[in-house]
Amino acid sequence: MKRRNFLKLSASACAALAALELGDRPVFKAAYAKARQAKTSLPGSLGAKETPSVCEMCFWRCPIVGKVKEGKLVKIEGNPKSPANGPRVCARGNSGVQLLYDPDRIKYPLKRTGARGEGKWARISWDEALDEVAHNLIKVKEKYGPHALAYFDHGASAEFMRDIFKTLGTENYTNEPAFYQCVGPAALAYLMTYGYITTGTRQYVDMKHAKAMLLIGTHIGENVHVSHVREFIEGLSNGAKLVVVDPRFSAAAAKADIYLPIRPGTDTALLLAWTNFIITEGLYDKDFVERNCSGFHELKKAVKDYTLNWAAPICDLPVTDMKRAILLLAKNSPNVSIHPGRHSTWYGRGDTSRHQALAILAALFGAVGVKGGLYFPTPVKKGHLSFGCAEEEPETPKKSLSEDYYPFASTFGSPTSKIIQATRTGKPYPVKLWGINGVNIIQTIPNPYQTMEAIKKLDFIFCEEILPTETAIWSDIVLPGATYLERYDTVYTYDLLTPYLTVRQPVVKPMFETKSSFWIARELAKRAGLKCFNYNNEVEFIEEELKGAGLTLKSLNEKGGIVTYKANPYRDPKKLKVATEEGKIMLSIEDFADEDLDPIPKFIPTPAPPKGYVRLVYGRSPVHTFTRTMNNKWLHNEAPENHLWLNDKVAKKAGIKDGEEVVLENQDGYRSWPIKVKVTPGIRPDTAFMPHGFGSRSKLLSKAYKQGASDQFMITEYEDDPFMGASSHRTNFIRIVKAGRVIDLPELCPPPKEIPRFSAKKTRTGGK
Amino acid sequence: MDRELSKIFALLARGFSYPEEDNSSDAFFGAVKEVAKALDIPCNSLSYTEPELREAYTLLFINEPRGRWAPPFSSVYLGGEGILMAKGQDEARNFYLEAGLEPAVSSEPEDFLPTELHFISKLIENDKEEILSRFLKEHLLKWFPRFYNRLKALEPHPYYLLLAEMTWKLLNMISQEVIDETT
Repeated sequence: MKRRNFLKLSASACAALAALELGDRPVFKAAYAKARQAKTSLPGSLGAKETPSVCEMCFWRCPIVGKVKEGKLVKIEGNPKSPANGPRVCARGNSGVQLLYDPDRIKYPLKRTGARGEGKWARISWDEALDEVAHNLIKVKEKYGPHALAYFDHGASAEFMRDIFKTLGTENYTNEPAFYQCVGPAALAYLMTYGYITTGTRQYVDMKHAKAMLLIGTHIGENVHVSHVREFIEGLSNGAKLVVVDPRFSAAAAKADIYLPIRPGTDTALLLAWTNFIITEGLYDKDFVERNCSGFHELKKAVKDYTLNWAAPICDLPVTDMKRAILLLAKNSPNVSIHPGRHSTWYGRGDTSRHQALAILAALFGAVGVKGGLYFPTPVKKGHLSFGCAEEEPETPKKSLSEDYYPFASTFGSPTSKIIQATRTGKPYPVKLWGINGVNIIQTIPNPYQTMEAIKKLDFIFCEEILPTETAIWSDIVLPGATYLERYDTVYTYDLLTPYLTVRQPVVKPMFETKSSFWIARELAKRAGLKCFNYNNEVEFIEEELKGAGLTLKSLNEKGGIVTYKANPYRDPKKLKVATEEGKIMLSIEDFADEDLDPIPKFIPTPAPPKGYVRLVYGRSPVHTFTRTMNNKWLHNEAPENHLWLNDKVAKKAGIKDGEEVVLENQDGYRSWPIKVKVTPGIRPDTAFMPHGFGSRSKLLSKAYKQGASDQFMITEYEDDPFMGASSHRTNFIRIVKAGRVIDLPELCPPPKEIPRFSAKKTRTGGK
Repeated sequence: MDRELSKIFALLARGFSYPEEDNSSDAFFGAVKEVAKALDIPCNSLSYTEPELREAYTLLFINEPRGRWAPPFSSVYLGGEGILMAKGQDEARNFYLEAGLEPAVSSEPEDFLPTELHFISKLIENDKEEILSRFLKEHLLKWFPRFYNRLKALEPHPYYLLLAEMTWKLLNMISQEVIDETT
């Protein structure tokens, strides 16, 4: 090498450099001969190392295989041995690569240096971050008592940290938006009717073998869970008839034999009228009901006034269509899939009842434990884990945020709305610390303005996060979580029609300083002085679980990472015994009556839109999972922004054109970010629709920020379900602001007298 | 001279690493200042506290609340995908392996700017002129200007602007020499 003379260093510069100690960390080491050959590799994913694992781009959790070359994940495919999805994954499953390698990721523990919500941080060490969280957990508990601690969680990996809050003694150790903003009312209705959660994370409905199916507001195909969609499509391919009830012409509606564009908020009226119809017409399965159901006579009496003629103006549906639909379902019973739904937090009052009515309809058809109907899970045996954390329920405070407000809340933790209210008001007791894990609470829980107001009142807030979401930028300490591709979790079992056992395991080593949820929880417990988490690492407890299934991690991996089992989903209707107290399907639920709640569903109208507004409903984009995937480049490229579906006749009268950009204003005067309008006859005139999860307000998400509008920021009015405290999401109304001018929307479907009109507490204009 | 030049790249590599005791010391700032002087880059007294630099570093190179930051990873700038562990990572890794080196355990991807600067230091130290020439021409100089421009546009903390200016000037000087020599 030639001498380099372009730089003239002074003697003092040479001395300064010579004296400099640059630490003793080695940056490079000699490469092994093997590593030196790495350059010559096959194209694409050929020759990659394959590791079986479990997806978490959504919570359906399909078995996958990660393909890795030179330490880099190059492709994700479905695990070919999976009986559920086989080699297939959806668009999101494919795009896990982009989550793993997103430069916007939270990379190191961060400490807030600016105001809450500002997103200014400094990187800190894990020791400092964990010590600070542990210190605050103890401090808040000592100062205000254990219930001042609250934990918002979602997903299996968040359950480890849940144990810390439980061991610290707070009743608020779990406040899952997955229940209180999603599946809670449906889960409760089915649990009480059938003795098991027919719909929760998964739906036990045999669409594959159905002769007819009913979907109420469920838009399979837009909500993509691979094996669920496949069963739906297989059912249709086998000739199943389909009835879809939805104010919007969804992807599923496009495949329907009968489509009923119902007035939003009146589904229970339709279901009760159908129930009465099949009872009075003798179309129900008398043998099945007599043998297996309890409360039929009470039901018959309770629904006798709900006729199709009564329902027609309420639901805004012709009697002939309603009759055609129920006759179609009855004709194909018992092999009918009365889909139990999943997201059910629609109107607050009446949500549990609506799903109870669906559960009753399935029972009257005898469509339970038979091919094509609701079926029973096949539990897959695995070893029991004992982490050594508190197993007993924490002591209940004088006034509980859970059961003292909603009698059936405690089954699922504390209602999120009550946690937020207590944090804002200090009543019935103060909540001063929030831990958040796996959920972007600001874009999930109704009225994000109240959520942010509550956060300002906290002594301390921390989260475990993968991306710098709105929740992260409101946190005092952010703990960088490893993605599902970088960590172990507990063993997964799938108890549907094709049962299997598999395990999530790291496909690549964690990026930056991210850590697994178990590691974080265990370290935190140690520092908080809690005797919790008996296992040193994930592999120890995974082996324990696998032992119960007669497996080891090695033997499981030798089998391709997955073991399948024979399903036992059906029952002889003559020997049916369900897991309710009576052992029968409960058509009338006495436990509800004991709490002064309706034991049999009643139709309770939800208020109609105020004049000038339409009801805002929302749903899923098939390539996104809420806000979680909005910053994913491949998925962002597929669906970068959302559109507002607006009825064509309404749009014409209001002078709004397809593709125009507008702002939405809700009944409380809150305004959205700009959103383009999709003018379509595929939505009712009294309703507008937008896919959920868009319109991120975190500037740190470089791809998602300000892309489309957030439905959540339009949901400021909510009502809690009186059974379990879930908060409603479809009780808000919007009108349009175009070029700064407020446009009242024409009313083309006025509500009948049975449905009162929403009256805003204070209807404002002017934008917030 | 090569010994000093190697050390200068090691100095810059540490400068672009997260502020800790050894790279936030008076001795460290003193060396930076001397090198800046030799490069004819004006610089006043460098007197920063570790917390100040940590906040500035986090905002510029880790996560920034206005969404305006300069990721110090070549993959973000090369290959058009804008993600980590992409083309830049492959290129950098192949150069390291060619030189018989691989990064020691680190939490960052291998195409992290400090790692690449440290690699130059190693190449100079080990007299790997030809690899250095290609590493600069085929890799580092393809992305560093984009990183540098992005950083400048952010009106960054003056210390990191200084380090970037020094790096840019030095890379230009050395590339002129080694690329000319080997082509």
